[in-house]
Amino acid sequence: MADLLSKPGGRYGAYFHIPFCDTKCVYCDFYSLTNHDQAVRFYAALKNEISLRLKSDPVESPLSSIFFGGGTPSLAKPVDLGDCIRILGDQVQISSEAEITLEANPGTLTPEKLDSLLNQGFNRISMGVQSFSESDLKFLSRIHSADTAKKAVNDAASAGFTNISIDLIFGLPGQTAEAWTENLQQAILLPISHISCYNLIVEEKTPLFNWVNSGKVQVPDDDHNSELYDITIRFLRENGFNQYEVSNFCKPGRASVHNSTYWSWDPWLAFGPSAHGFNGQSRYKNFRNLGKYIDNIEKGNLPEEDRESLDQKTIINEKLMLGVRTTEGVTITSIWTHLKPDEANNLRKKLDRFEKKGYLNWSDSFLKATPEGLRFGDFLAEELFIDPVV
Amino acid sequence: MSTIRNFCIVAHIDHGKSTLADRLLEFTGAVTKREMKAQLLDDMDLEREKGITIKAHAIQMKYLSKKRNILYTFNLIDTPGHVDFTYEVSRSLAACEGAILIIDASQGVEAQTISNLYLAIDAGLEIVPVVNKIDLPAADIPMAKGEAISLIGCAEEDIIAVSAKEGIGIEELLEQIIDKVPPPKEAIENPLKALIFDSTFDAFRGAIAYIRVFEGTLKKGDKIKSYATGKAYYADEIGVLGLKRVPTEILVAGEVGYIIGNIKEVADTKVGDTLTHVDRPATEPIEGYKEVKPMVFAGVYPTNSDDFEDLRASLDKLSLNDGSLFYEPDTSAALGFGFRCGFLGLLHMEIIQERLTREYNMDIITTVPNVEYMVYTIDGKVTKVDNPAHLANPSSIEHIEEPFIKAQIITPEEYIGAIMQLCIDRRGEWLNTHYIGASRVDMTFYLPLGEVIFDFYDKLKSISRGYASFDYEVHGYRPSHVIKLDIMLNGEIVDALSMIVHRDKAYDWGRKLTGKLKDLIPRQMFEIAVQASVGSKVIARETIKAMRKNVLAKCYGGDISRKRKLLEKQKEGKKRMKQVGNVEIPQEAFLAVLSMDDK
Repeated sequence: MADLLSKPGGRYGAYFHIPFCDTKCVYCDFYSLTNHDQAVRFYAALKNEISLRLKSDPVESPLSSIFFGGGTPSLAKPVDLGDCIRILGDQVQISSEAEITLEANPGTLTPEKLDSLLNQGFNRISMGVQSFSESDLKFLSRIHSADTAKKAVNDAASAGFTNISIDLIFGLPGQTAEAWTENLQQAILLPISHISCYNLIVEEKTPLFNWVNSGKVQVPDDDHNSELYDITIRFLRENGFNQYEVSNFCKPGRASVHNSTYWSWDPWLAFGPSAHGFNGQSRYKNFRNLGKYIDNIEKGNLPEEDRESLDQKTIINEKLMLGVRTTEGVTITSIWTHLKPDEANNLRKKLDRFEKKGYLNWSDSFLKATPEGLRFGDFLAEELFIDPVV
Repeated sequence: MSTIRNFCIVAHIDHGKSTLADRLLEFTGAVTKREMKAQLLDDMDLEREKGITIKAHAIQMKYLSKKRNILYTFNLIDTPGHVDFTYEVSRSLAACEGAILIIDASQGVEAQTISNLYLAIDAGLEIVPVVNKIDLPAADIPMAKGEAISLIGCAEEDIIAVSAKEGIGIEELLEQIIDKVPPPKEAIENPLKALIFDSTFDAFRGAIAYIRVFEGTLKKGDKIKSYATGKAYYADEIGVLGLKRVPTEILVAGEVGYIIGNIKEVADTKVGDTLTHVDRPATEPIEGYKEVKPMVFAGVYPTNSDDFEDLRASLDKLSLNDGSLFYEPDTSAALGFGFRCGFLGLLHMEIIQERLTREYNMDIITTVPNVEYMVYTIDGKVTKVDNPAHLANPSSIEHIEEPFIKAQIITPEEYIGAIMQLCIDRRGEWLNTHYIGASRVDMTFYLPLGEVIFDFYDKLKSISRGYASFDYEVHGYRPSHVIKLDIMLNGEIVDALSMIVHRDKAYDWGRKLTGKLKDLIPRQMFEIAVQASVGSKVIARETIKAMRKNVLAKCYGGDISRKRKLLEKQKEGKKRMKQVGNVEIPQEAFLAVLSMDDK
């Protein structure tokens, strides 16, 4: 079973979006609310969504992962989250090996809460540390300090979590190579098995976007970001963390099952406002509006805003795009029968060319990136894409 | 005595010509308010956007003079208002007996006012001076009147103060037109002489010529011929120009109208040409006809080389109603098959570019425009070269001559110094400076046309805060030390980026151009050397570093669709780039030189 979970084609995930935060971070464009007035109604709705969702998108195989993201799901009462897991487990089989992750803000975790989370069934914590520099944290408007973050990780390990991940952000304004290396150094001293290092993206409709646009804040240029990225890859490799996705690094065997589900074109269920799901044929997304989300569920409706049934060309392009973003890759056995002979030839030629350059490995049944290729994921996807059918 | 009055409006751009035309039409009832779209005479989208009347048109209106109780027929002939179209303007003027001269009450006289006025005076037209925009808070009517008086020597009471926008002074102006503009000469009995002052193309009817009958009588069905082309055809339909074409049986001397024959192309209805009867021809044509010659040349290539035939078809169609567009097939090592096009000027080029893109949906690359050089080789031959790629080996060249213009710049006096500097930088030769009014001057220079077609006009506007105006006429060829400047990408010359520049400026241009290209060409998977060279000598170099990372996070939270769509869109954008060797070059890079800053 465990073996199956770690392979593309064998996974089925479940994602819960908890939209509440204490404060809104300046760079974040995920759906989150600082007003928690609707929390009680929300959790009731979330639990009710499970059966609505399963009616619409039934699941045959056991679930290999459950992930609570947000927002700040660690603000929730562990029992509310545990209820979700139990209700889900009543209606669909959850593998005994399933990876069950809570995205947590270090400032919200106490030893008691960690114990309680373990009791509710969580076995993985993904902590949004972002930086070990106090000035970075202040700039990012995070509610925790570097010491709080370290303590939270250590507490989680003491409580019994053996699978802990942290998120860091590089490419922050004024961040030097030295400062970033120091961050990585701090990270590897902690009892963690997984690190996500994201290059800061200036998303529209965030305070950061306005600051950058008005010139109040300057973000590093491409060259500097590339340098920080190089440092990340090298430093983490030297310290036992292998890169398996553009921004993700892990100790052997500790790749995130849940995130790998997204990247390997495996299906997952989605619950909560703004959550995105995929049933193997179509992709759907829930309302990005708490009121609408709750109202729909209370009326017995699925809180779905949009659903896109994937056509063959879209499937092919998704697989090509995802294939070059992980070292695990995707299976591409099925795509060839849907390509015209010249399209298939063309694609094979391009794949050969990029394989020769050392960016990817492929056969008729799989496509995966090399560590060198991961840094050109967008470029490779654009090059490989099949043109829309005219 | 004839009750016809044929006139045009002479004005600087934005001084309210179109608005005044609208008001006249509205006042005489030629157009009802409901039919009135703002700036009626400009019916191409582009014209309305640019605020420039590109193609001349004409319209007839009936005016009942209350003073005289006589019904008059007015033909308003619209004229293009830009330096690129001086010849077309002169032919439109030739079709009239009078011209309304508009002077903006807040801006005063500008270069185009004067150059078009001179054309009107040369054409022997009676001038009706008007000060417009008197409703504006910034209006200085005495100043504008003063400038008009010093310009044409009229009496102050002859100048009518109007506001085309508010409809003030319109009736007075209409009466003045009757008083001042002479009626056409009576010459109905003479052999037919009709001037083509404009033409247009109708998909169903073919070419339509707008004509002014000067002598004789034209009847529907008459067999007529062109003086310029010698071609003969039947006048299948003739008529006058209302808001739409109004067919009639006859057009007599003095009248303005249109003619439709079996004429396939606008190129066969040459502006300035004379039409006469085959059976009873006039002894000589109307004076002033000229073949229109392109002044500015550039390569036009399809971004996707498969679209070459489509581009040809589009140019064919475009030229049906633009007789001054010149084009012939050309090839470029970098861009493949395309066309070398000749334009009347830079504005004309811009218009063609935009029409190809908008009306014909063509994805095109335009190369750096240049003028036509006379190349004298040591074997005694003279060749015209309008494409830098075709410039002969320097060792075989005896000397090269380049076209010059006589430029007229009108400016408030405080900018004299800056303008003098600009013209000298552009290798200009100062001729003279005259004061018009108390604080404005009229400066004249000889300038190489090649130095003007880039960003001269924009520069002039910026150093004079928009106050200086500019007009020119062609002034022949002069010997010049020009050389070919090549651009190399990774050691290979990109012929489409070559340009002909003055020897003294080669280094400066090379440095700026490589710098600009470095900014415009996106990073690729390998390093790119951008070099400028003259002959075999590299004079400037920039390096575009290889891309080290091209991936953004973004796939988190499972929004796979959004990421895919984003990347697919980026891929579409990339398709608009041209692959030269293994380097992908965006379209705008081929025109980098046009957007180059002098500093």
